[in-house]
Amino acid sequence: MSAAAAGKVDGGPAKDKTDPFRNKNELKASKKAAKRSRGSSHYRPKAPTELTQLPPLKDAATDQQELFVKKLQQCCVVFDFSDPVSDVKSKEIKRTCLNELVEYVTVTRGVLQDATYPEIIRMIACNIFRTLPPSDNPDFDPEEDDPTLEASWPHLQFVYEFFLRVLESPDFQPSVAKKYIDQRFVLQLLELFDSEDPRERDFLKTVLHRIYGKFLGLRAFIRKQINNIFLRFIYQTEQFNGVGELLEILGSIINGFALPLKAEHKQFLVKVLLPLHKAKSLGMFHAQLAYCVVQFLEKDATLTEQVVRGLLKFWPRTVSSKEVMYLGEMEEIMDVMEPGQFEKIMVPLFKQIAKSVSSSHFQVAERALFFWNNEYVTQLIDENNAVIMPILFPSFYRISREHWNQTIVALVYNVLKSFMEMNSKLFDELTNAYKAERQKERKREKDREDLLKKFEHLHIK
Amino acid sequence: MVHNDRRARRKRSKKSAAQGAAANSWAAKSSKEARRGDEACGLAEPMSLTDESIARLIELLAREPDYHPKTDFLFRINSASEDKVDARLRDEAIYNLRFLHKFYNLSPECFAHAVNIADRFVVKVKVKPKYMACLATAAYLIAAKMIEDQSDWPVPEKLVCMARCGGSANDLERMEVIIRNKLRDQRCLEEAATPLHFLLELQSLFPSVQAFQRAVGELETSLCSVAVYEHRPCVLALAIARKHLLAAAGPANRNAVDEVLSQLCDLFQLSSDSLSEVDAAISGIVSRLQTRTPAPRLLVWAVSRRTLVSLMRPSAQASLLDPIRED
Repeated sequence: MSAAAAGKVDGGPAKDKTDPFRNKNELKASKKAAKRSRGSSHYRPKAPTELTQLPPLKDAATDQQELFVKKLQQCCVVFDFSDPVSDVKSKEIKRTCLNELVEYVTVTRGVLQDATYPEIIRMIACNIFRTLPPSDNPDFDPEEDDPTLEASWPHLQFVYEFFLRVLESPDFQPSVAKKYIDQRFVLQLLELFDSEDPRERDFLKTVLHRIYGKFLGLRAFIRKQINNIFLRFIYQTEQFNGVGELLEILGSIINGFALPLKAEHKQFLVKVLLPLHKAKSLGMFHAQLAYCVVQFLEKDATLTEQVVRGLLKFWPRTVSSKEVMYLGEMEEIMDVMEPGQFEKIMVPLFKQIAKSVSSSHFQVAERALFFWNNEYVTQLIDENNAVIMPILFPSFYRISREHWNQTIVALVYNVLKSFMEMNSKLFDELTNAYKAERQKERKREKDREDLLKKFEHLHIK
Repeated sequence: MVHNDRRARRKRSKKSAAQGAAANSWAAKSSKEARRGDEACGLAEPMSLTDESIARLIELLAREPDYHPKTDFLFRINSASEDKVDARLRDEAIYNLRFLHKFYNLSPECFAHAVNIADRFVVKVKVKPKYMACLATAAYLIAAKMIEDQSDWPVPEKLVCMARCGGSANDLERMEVIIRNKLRDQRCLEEAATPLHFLLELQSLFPSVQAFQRAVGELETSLCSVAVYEHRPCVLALAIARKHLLAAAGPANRNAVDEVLSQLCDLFQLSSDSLSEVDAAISGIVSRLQTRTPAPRLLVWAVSRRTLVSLMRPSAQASLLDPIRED
């Protein structure tokens, strides 16, 4: 590990630990100044790295395949990018070579022969499979911090591009490739999803998506390993950078599920996807997670009750930004909910919505109230207003008088007005009952005060 | 002095309600207790009216013509060509006012007086459509100041915001002054004999608070239609009371209820035909207004920038990968 990665030049970490008065922004600024934004994950003993330029493939009249294999072998040499001035010429030769290979495999037919598969996979494995370095910044905030980029990206991006072109080639034969792209290969590929470089994760996502599509024999294994990654993430480490990308792949898999859904898939929803909502870093992958959940419900509406009750069980109590995400997801779920399913969960759901609407965090209240801007949701509410209105009414009425944010009060006004128009008889009953309760409460308070005054008076006597 | 008069008036109206049904006053029972009372409806004998109530009804009948606005001309106005409030605009404004009234949850007298003040002003002054909402809101403010304690008066700034009547709090207060000035030469605003005042005198006939409140709610809804409010206040009150009393009456006391209603018809000098006609008009309006689709233009959804940003990231765009078929 380089000195820069191992410790800070100004002795930052030791100083930070002993000085309790340095605030979070100062700490981040000092770390940013000291740390390099690029990490290198290759640490190998010094091997011969000087490359000789090979002739271009397009100029080879015969033995193009032989030259192709030689170039593949040449690209198996891996360079150390932590030193920007070492092996500059050879690095450039390799980069040009990789670029050429990408073009070659894209435009030329008949490249992918039985003998070339092991060479291709070996070159790819040599370059991409490595141990990822530990994170420089465990408190990484995607909205504020820059991600740590892979130093060897100038080569890696071509390797990934090449891999993709191979997988997408019309000549690609999974029956031959499966000897080399096996479970061990996939396992190593999955570990790379923890890379901090978002560009690498994006390529990995596409690569794994193609592998899942083409290798039917690996599908169950891939699903199982993704499950393991998620479960480890949820219950042990809470640290994995590639959750979003894996969820994106799963979204396309769920989209293609056959009906009726297998028990394995339903179990995955309940045991993995729902608990994934608990993660602290939910914001990094919530859009993809919500997409997966909604896809499940579009496939099988009978899962609605389980999903909604699951979300209500994990509903955030203290993190407002998470609550806003949950509300967004709940609206998307309601958008695809059948009326019959809605009736089963409307009571617990709207009890929670009543609490969210009452939140003193204006974004939470606002997001909850915005449900009433959704035509389908208001239609569902309208059809069941005799049950829902009494649940929501006390919160809405109280908010209209007590909330500090005038936007919220105006939104509550809108909702109360639509309530009155849907069912003014019920609305009247609720306002009357609320008024009676409030007057009873005031009377009780007054009686209590009078009693205390009497005691004071007796005490003085 | 004025304050004490106001309190005295409120106490009088509450006292009349308390007689014979002391526990059934507006605020005394919770909804649960009221429901229990409701279960008993039809079994108890309806109370007959006391002499005091009848005397007050006679007094209201005497004042009735002085305060009832003659709004039939509103049906002859075409607001588009004449730039004046017509029946439709009046109804819309009063309907919105009713919601404002429910929002503030003040005494039902506030709404009844506000409608009366607004209609009397519209009769006296040709109002432009753009001012109708402000007029109705200012009328409500005047009524609230007449009826409620100062601590319960709506704040003009918030009232203007909630009512969405346009203008500022100053504009609202100016409208209040204009209304008071224009109606100054008429009888005292507080003495208006509205349909609600007649209904309040009949409260002792109702078997429970809940039943009476339903009747009041229906009366408020019917006031939202100028076509219904054209009828005499006593007729409106009696038509609504009759409907709810007959609905609540069991076979055992049906005759007693009929007898009381017949006495009231004689007192108000009404025929059963005119009562049925009003009943039909009320039923039509109420069923139309009690369940209607919210007017989209009135529902203003203005959210903060951060919420708007989060709304622009739906999860449907989360996956750009092609679906992979399972089979």
